[in-house]
Amino acid sequence: MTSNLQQLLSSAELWRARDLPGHARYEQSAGLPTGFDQLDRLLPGQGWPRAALSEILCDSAGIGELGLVAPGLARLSREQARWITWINPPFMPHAPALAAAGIDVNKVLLIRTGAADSNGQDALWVLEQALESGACSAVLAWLDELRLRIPDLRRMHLRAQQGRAWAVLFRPGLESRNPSAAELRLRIRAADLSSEGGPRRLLLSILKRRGGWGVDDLPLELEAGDELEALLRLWRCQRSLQLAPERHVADAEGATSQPLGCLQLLNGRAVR
Amino acid sequence: MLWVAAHLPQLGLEIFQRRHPHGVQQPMVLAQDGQVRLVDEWARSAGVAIGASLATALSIAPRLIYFECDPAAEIERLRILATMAHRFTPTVSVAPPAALLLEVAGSLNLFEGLGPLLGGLHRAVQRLGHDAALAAAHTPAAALALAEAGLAAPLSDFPDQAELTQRACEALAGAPIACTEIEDRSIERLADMGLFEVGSLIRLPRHELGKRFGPGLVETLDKLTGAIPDPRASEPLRERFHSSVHLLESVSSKPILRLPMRRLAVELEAWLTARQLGACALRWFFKPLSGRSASRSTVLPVRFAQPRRRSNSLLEISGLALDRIDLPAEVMSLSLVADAVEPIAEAGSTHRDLLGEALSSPQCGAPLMSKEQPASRWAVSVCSMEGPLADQAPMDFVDRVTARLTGESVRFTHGRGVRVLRQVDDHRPECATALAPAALPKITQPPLARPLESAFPQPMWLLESPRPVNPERYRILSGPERIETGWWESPNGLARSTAKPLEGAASRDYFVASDSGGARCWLFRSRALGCENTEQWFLHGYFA
Repeated sequence: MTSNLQQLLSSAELWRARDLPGHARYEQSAGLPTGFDQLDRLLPGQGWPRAALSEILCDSAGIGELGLVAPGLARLSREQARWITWINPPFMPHAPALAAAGIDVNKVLLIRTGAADSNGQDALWVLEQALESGACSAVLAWLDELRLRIPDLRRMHLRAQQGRAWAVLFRPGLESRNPSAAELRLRIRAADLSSEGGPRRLLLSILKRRGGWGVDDLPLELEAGDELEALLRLWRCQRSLQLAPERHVADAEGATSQPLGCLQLLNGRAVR
Repeated sequence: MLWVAAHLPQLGLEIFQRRHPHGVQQPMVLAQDGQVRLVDEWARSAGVAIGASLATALSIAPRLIYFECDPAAEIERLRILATMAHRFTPTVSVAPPAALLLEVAGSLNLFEGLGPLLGGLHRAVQRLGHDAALAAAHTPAAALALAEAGLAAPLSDFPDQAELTQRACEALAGAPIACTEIEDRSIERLADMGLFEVGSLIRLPRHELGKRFGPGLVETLDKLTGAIPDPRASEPLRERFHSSVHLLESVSSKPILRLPMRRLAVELEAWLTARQLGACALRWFFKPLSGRSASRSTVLPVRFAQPRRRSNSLLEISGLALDRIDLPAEVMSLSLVADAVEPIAEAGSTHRDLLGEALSSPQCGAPLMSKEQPASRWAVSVCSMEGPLADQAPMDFVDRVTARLTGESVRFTHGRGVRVLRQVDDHRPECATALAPAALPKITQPPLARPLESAFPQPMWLLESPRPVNPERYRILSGPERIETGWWESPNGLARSTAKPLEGAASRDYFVASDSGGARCWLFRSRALGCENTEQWFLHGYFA
């Protein structure tokens, strides 16, 4: 009887209420801060799960899917000497932009299985190895959805726990109808298509999380926004000041304090 | 001088056992001139005796396999073993027909005494598939005679010359004359005179012995006792590793090939250990059964992101690569060549700092380095000084994936493979990211955030080649930013892949735009050199 109970408790399928916010032992399972306070408050462990499978469902590239995970990746690349592995990304990651977001590009490992991997088995094998080996702190993967089966997802989740890796699967939005073994499922959409400028927003829905119901359409500000022209003007002004440091110091307290503030804001967002 | 001899009694048979693709379950004997010279366990238990004629042996054990004695192969094998033994001392020589000689006086401190050294040597020889009898003595001839007779003198861990000479002479007195290097004709005549042991021979007056048996016998006896010097040619350390196995029967399945591959990998490990090296690139050759398609062997190159030594990891990664290639239907022989080697630090007991304190060799894997265990940070920095042996997990992963994905080719071709991103200092977006072979990741302490060089935002996704688009379907949010396209470079330069649709374009004007789905895109308008009115819009990236 006791041994059955022990077996059940040690099963990876079962999670316990003491792992949730508000419990005394909760701090132990602290997650990886996402960089967005609103989101942190909603997630168990106050952040991304450090050793589990997460899914991000989005329909098209470029709506902010990388911006959402970039602060987490930046933190991992600072803390750990493990790889951040990208498996079959749809496009080429642009190193200067990643570096500007605070990610150490020397730890970014790009793996492509290419056209020879017609049935997606190589990509799955690589993902499993990446998670299981413990050599990666984070793994971002874009898999062949036609060949992806639920037992595969469950296996990947177990491997992620085993290798203490933050595994993120990027999947199309349609998959929200299908069940998944992922611990956390998010769906993102682009927000305010109509409004010009303004801070860049996306709408985030939590489809599945531990210790709570889903959350619909949480607006999330991705970056310091979109009065890009204005900001860039200020930035250029700042750069010209940097070329002449004496003037910069003199002016910093006076007339140009505004650009400095904006620049810090911009940097702060990007760096966090 | 402290000489250690390793006598390999079964060497003649063992070289054939090594060539057998899987373990032998049959009696085997080695024959010379129709007579049985060596028998293995199975043959011995079947009742085949050394010295019997082959016909007798076959009638006793009909399933008997017999091999003709091959002295050239035995000496070649001894040479390979000598290479391995360089791990223990620089002075190693081959003593035909079946022994190695090592002068180890200078190595006792390193190996913490004679006992541990002999133990290590015995294990190393055994790992390569040979039985050995070891003995130490003050002269090479005495060590050889004692090893062959199986009469190792009891010695302390750090014997001085007096103790060594005395103990060795005591043991030698009981050794049979047949074990020494005295020629066979003399041995027979001595036996006829009732002299069987070395002790009784040494006691005889030398002058009269010389008169009766010739000066050769006296000289051999003097070398045995150390009265005259006995120089031995030492075996040079081989610069390149190349070893092959010619199988006794052809093999047509990959799993069975693993056993002969393991034997070669173990030999490579021994060679690498002796030279304190690690292998970076290997080549396996699989040669088919000779016939029409003969002489065309299949080559399997295996490359490692960092030097490796352990046979298990060499084999594991070679095995992943082996699964990806097609072998000849019947493999008859296989060989292994180490193409590129690099020095690696030895992990383990020989690591000492300047003051002689043993450095700990932490078994740290990368997962230790998370924030939850700040204490392990220090261990990591020690690890990185220790060299690649200590911290293998990140590179193991890279090597495994490379082996599985690339198989025969190790280049990043056909969009398959493993690469690390590198930031290149180039203002052109398509040249700012480079793909490099993986190197060990390290924790870099200062924050890495680095503002963009450009005053304009750059996207996280870049299309590998810009895609022509219709600008009316996008809403421009900001821009333009002008970027020169590198017309000053030759067409074979860096921008080769992306320059194709834009031939003649001198500069591009980049805009941030949003498409109907809300995605933020990076578009550019290319302005051709000279003709300003032909414009084409391209999509080059996404602000993801």
